[in-house]
Amino acid sequence: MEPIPERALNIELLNARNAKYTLTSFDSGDEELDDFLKNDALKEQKLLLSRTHLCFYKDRLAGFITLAADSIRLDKDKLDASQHIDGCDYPAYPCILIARLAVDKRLQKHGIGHYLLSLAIGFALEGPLGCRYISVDPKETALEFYKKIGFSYWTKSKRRMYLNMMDVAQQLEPDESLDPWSEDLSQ
Amino acid sequence: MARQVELGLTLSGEEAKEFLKNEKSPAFTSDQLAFFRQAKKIYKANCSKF
Repeated sequence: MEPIPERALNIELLNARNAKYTLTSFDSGDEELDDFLKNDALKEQKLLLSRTHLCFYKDRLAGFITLAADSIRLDKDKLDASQHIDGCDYPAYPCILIARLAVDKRLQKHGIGHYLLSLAIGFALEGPLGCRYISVDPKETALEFYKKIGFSYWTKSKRRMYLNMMDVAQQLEPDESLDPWSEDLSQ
Repeated sequence: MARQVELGLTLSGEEAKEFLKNEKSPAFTSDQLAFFRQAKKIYKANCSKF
């Protein structure tokens, strides 16, 4: 199916106004995701637990993504120094959790899910936060969607799929420092 | 009420070792790298709203 052009999609932070007028007709085909959006997303946002952005196509709610700041804590009692991540002996590593992502079933397979995921990945790469990983606990039906992008399970428990943003950044710009001034100052 | 998401995972024992062993990604495909490049552009175009 043809992807909807990005310029035709509009992003808005969930708020009391758009929640009142746009959520009722949303139907992703997944009752749990729809229930979250209609009943819990705004409450969670007011508590600063997560933030939900809505994606509109032709003034109609096409999808949403909910993100939360997260961390991955490693209990390192039984790990030696060689097992520290890039030599950093941190007890926890910053992470963005994709808490929810859904597209209205009438607009699925038109690239809206990819667009929403792009925003999260772009935020991790270009945004104001240090973020080592993006994680997601996907529905069975979304496994392939995330795998195709590069997410994978790193533990047998399969509690989360992860994407290592350091590897993404390095493979995108292998010859460029993240700090453009570092070379000049060292000379 | 939708199920709550579990924040602040703690990985211990074998699970922590598996995490450390597997956290390095294999080389991404050209399609995946193109997607990440496009993701940066999409975010930059929307960073005032996202």
